[in-house]
Amino acid sequence: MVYDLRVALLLWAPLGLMFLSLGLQFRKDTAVQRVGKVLGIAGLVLFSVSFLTVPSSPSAASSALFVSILPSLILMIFGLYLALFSGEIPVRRFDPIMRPIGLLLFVLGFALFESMHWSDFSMLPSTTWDGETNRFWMVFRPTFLLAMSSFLLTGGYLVHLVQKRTTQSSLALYATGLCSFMLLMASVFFDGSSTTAEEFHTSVLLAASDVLGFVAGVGLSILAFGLTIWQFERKRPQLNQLPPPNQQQLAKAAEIVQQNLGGDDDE
Amino acid sequence: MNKRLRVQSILFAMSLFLLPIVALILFSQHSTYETEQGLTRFVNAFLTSYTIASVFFVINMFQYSKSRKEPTAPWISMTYAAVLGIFTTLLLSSQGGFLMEENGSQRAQVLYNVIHFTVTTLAIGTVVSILVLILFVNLGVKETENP
Repeated sequence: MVYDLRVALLLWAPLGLMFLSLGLQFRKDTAVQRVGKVLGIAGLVLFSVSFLTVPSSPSAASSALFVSILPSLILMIFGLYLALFSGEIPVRRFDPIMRPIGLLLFVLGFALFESMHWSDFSMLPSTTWDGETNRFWMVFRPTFLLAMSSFLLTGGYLVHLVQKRTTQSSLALYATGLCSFMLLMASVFFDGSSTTAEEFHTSVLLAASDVLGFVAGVGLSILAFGLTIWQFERKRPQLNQLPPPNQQQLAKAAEIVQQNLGGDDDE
Repeated sequence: MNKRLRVQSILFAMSLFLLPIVALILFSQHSTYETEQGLTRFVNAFLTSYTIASVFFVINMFQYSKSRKEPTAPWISMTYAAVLGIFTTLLLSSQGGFLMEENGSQRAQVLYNVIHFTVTTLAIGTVVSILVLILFVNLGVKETENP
């Protein structure tokens, strides 16, 4: 009973705080958003160390996995963020020389993530827990590669349909999606350092059920709430029937535009 | 884009989405995968994501009702979500004991579902972030070439 309470306080409560923090970011009040961020960081730190604080809980394996994959995820996301904000865009934040470095960081992050499956080099983050392959690693990697293949290939095609300044984006999405698919197929045919090809194949088929269930569940929820919003919105007057904005509304709009535009004052 | 082309495009996009899954199924002759296990996983993923997404949207509907001055909006959306949720749960779990995986009790299964959902969300969330970032990284380059 005492141990259950410990698990609840050191693993489940921090996880709950992370979800709560996410919800609070949608509030308009900046003070509430700030409180949400503090709660989220506290939850993240407590959840990350829960594999040390409550190691015998079966769910602690997810915390160990999170710590193991964090370096590669940070490299991938930060690398692309760096490449994006060092490009020739009006809201540039970094020197243009950082663009190839950002892309290199993304490739390095992806390579690190994949090497965790293919190599048992001791310097790499571990994919084992309690002497066996971490059960959540067998959920995360198949889901990640499968979602990357499906989402990026579909995204590449949908972006191609837009056709304005998107040819290069479409090609990049196709190339990354295809690369991910090849890695997925390679894992199905060749054994990794701690998992056999057959085990991975079973995991990836279960991940397919997961991805489809996730998309269907979230999709149905969006449908239910979209229906409610549509019901209320259709009763409202058309945009062209609305009165013109007053001075106060225009000032508010100008303030929001100003907050969201980057660059110098003379631009 | 005409209507026929739009339908064709949506069908092609859906085929591309399912292509990796279909390829994996075609090569699954030697796999130990069991269909019933896959269905259980699908139903658990579906119900968990539906429940958590609905809770998230209900909280946001209160914000919507305040800004649009529609006090009944959260309650109507909750009713829709609950009716739809109950209907799909009954439909999917009508075979009895269908939702239990390798966990000893109902409580363990529910907690496992939440952790499993978190891991899946992290994977899918990372992929969506990568998709958006790759899209905009390359848009920026194209924009400078053709101002």
